[in-house]
Amino acid sequence: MMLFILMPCNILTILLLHFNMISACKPSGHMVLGVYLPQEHINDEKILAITSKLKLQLKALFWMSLLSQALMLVVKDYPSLSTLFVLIFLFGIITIYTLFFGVYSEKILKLKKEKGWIVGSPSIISLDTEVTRLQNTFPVSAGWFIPGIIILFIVSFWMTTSNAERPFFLHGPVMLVICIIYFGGLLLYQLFKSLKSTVYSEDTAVNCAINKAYKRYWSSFCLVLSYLSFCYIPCLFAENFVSSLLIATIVASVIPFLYMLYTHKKITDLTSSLVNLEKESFSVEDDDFWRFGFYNNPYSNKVWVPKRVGIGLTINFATTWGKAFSVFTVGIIIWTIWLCLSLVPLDFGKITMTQENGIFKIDAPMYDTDIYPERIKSISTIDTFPNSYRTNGANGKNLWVGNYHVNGYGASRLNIMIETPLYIVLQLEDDSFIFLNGEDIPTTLEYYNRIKASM
Amino acid sequence: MIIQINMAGETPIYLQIRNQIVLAVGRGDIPVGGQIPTVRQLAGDLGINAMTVNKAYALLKNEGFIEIDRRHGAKIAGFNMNSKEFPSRLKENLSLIVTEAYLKGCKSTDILEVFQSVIAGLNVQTFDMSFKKEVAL
Repeated sequence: MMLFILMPCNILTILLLHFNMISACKPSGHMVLGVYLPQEHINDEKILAITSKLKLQLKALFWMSLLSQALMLVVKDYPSLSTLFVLIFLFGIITIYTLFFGVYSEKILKLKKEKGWIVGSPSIISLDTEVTRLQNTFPVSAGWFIPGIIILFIVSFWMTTSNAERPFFLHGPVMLVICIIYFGGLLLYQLFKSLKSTVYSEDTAVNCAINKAYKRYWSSFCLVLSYLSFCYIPCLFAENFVSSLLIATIVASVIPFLYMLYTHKKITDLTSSLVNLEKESFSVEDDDFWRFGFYNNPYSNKVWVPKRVGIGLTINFATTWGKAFSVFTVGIIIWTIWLCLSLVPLDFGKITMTQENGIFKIDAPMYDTDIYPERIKSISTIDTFPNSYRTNGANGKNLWVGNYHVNGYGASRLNIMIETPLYIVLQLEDDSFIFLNGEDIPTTLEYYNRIKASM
Repeated sequence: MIIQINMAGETPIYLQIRNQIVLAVGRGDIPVGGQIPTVRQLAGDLGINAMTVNKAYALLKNEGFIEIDRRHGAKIAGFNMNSKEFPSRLKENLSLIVTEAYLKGCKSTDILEVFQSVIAGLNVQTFDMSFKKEVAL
C-alpha cells in the first residue's frame, strides 16, 4: 500500500523538478536560469553552450533518479524504512537539483558581469504608481469566502446537535481537515493579496495587465482550494468512511495541483508574451540577491516575492520573517528526521514484559504500558486478531502499539506483534482492553501464565 | 508613472519621491488631474515608513504640484502661473548648476544643448509655452 502512495509521490517530484529546470533553461521574459539578460544577448553562443551542457546533465540525473526508485522495492515491507527512504530521497533530489541550478546560474551571472550586460543598480526599488494605486482591486473579492464560512458554521452546528452514530474521533479530525484547508486557502489569499507590485515594463498598461493577472489568477486558485475542502463533508454522512475519505483526499489534492499548473502556465504565458514585446527588460539589477534560487535582498523589505524559476512564491531571507522562516524550516527538517528515525524500532523492535513490585511493565517501541494485576477483570487468549483501526498509535511491519479501536472490543491498548498468532486479551475494570503477546507463542503463553497467577 | 528609489543613495528618500513625481509630470507620464497612490499605498509598496512618503507629499503639496483630497486621495495639481517666488528660485538654482558645469569644463553651447534637450523632453499639456520659450532663450 505504502509503495503505491510513496512511489508516485517520488516520481511526480522528479518530473516536476526536471521539467521545471528544463523550462528555466529556455529564455523567457529576458531571463535564462533566473538571470536577467539584455534581449540582444539572450541567445548568445556562450549562454546557449551553458544551457545545453546543463540539459545533458539534467537528462542523466533524471534517469538516475527514476532508477533509484528500485530501492523502494527493497524496503517496501518496512514502513519506517520506506518513509525514511522517501524523506532522504526528497531532500537529496531537491538539494541536487538546487545545486545544479545554482552552479549553472552562477556561470551565467559571471558571464553577464564579464561582458558588462548590467541592466540597473542593485539598490534601486521601482514601482508603477498606477499599479500601486489599483492593486487592491486586482484580486477576486474576499467576499466570496463568506458563504464558505456560513457552510462551515452550519456543518459544525449539525455535528454538535445531531445524534450521529459516528464517533467524534472520526468526525472531529475530518472537520479539522476541512477547517485547515479552508482557512489555509484564506490565509494564502491574504498573502497573494498583500504581495507588493512588480514593474515589468515602462508601459503602465503592461504592468497593470501582468500584476492584475498574477493577483486575479492566484487569488482565484486560493478560493477554489478553500472550497475544495468541502469535498470532505460527504465523509461525515457516508456509510463507507474510508473509501469516501480516500476519494475526497484524491479530489482535494489532484484538482488544486492541476489548477495550480494551469494558473502558473497562464501567468507565465501572459508575462512572456507582453514582456518579450519590449526591446529592453525593465528589471532592477538584483541578480546578486538571487543565489541558488533563494532570495536575500537587504535593500527590499518585500517578504514574499514571486519565484524566478518554479511555481508560487519564495521568501526574502534578508527580512526578519525570512530569517524566522529559515529557522522554522530547519526545525521542521530536524523534527521530521527524528520522527522517521523513531519509527525504525517499529519494524525491528520487539515487545517484552517484566515484573516490578507486582506491576507488569510492557516495554514496546514508542508506547510502554503498565498493567496493575488488581485492575484486571478477566484474561483470555485469541488466535486471530479482529479488524481494528488506529486512534492514537503506531504500527510497523510487525509491531502494533498504542491506542486502537478493535471491532467487538472497543477502545483498546495494543502491544502486539501481529505476525505471532496468539494474543492475550486483558479486560480492565473500566471495560477497556489491553492486547499483548510476545515474540513467539511460548513467550506469549509464559506471559499469560504469569499474569493469570498474579490475579 | 514609474518611480525608482535608490535605497543606498545619498539623496533622502522623501526628496527622491518628490523629484521623481515632478520629473514624471514633466515627462507627461501622468497628466494634470491624474491620481497618484495614497501615502499608505506608496509606503506599503516601497516598503518604507509612511512618514517618509507623508513628508514628500507635504512638500509637493506646499510647492503646489499636488492636491490632496480627503475623498479621492492625491492628484496632480494644475499649474500655478502666478507664482512670484519660483522665477527667482529658478535663477538661483540654475546659476549654481551652470556655474558648476562651467567650472567642470562644459562649454556654454553644451550647457544650452542640455537645457534644450530637457525642455524638448517636457510633455505637459497645460505647460505655459511662452515660459518654455523664455527659458530656452
